[in-house]
Amino acid sequence: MRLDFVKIFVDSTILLFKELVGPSVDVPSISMKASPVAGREVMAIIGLAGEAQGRVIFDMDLFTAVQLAGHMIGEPSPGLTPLVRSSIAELASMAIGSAISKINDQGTRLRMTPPTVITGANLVTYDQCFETLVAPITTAYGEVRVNITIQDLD
Amino acid sequence: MRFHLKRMMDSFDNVIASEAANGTEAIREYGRLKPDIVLMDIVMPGLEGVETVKRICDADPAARVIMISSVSYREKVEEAIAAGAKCFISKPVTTEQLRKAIEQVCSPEIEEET
Repeated sequence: MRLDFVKIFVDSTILLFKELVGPSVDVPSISMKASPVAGREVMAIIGLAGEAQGRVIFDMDLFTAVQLAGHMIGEPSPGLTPLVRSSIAELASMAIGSAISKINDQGTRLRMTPPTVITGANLVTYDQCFETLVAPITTAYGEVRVNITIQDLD
Repeated sequence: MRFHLKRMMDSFDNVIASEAANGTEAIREYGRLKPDIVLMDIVMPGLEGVETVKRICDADPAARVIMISSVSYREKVEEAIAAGAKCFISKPVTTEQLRKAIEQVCSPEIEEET
């Protein structure tokens, strides 16, 4: 696990959330989990490739996703609309894009895939051999877990 | 991103905004509509943003492309500008930043350079 990169991902996400959602953002604890990792009802997944590989999954419950998106859009949303899905994808993309930029500026070539948003009940992700670092980020609208797996190619 | 940008664009006066889901579609739509302004991300499904800008600007050197992306490391910004983008904005972008960027790329000085 590239913990130096993990720190950049978490710090970038916190910074973005503070800018977009408000100052009451906190990460009470960070933990390491073995696969599989159970997700909540809304997940945004971004793949990482280049000189390191991995993926970042943002997961949250439906209420948090709708509230967060409503805050970003500037008006309440009636439910999980395409605009809400797009907003959650955009939130994840901005957080990881910012981290990717810092990592590249430090000299490691790393790319990200466009975010994929998956919704449903009892979502579980499996990685064959990676451990996942889980950072739960508390916001005024609920908790968003950032599940990060990244390691060097060799 | 395009949902949000389209909402911003729709809030401006005298703007008709269209959208494309990926680079290939963007190139096709550019050829069909010849828009005054193109807003382009870097991370897209299929053909990525910088290559899409290059193809649009190779076909039409007068194209006015504004890159808007959270992927904003120095080398990538330089690639985007070399590909033909007139301006680069880091996300998150505000309506006011977008308005200023559009005014900038539509200014006569930029027109003379192209």
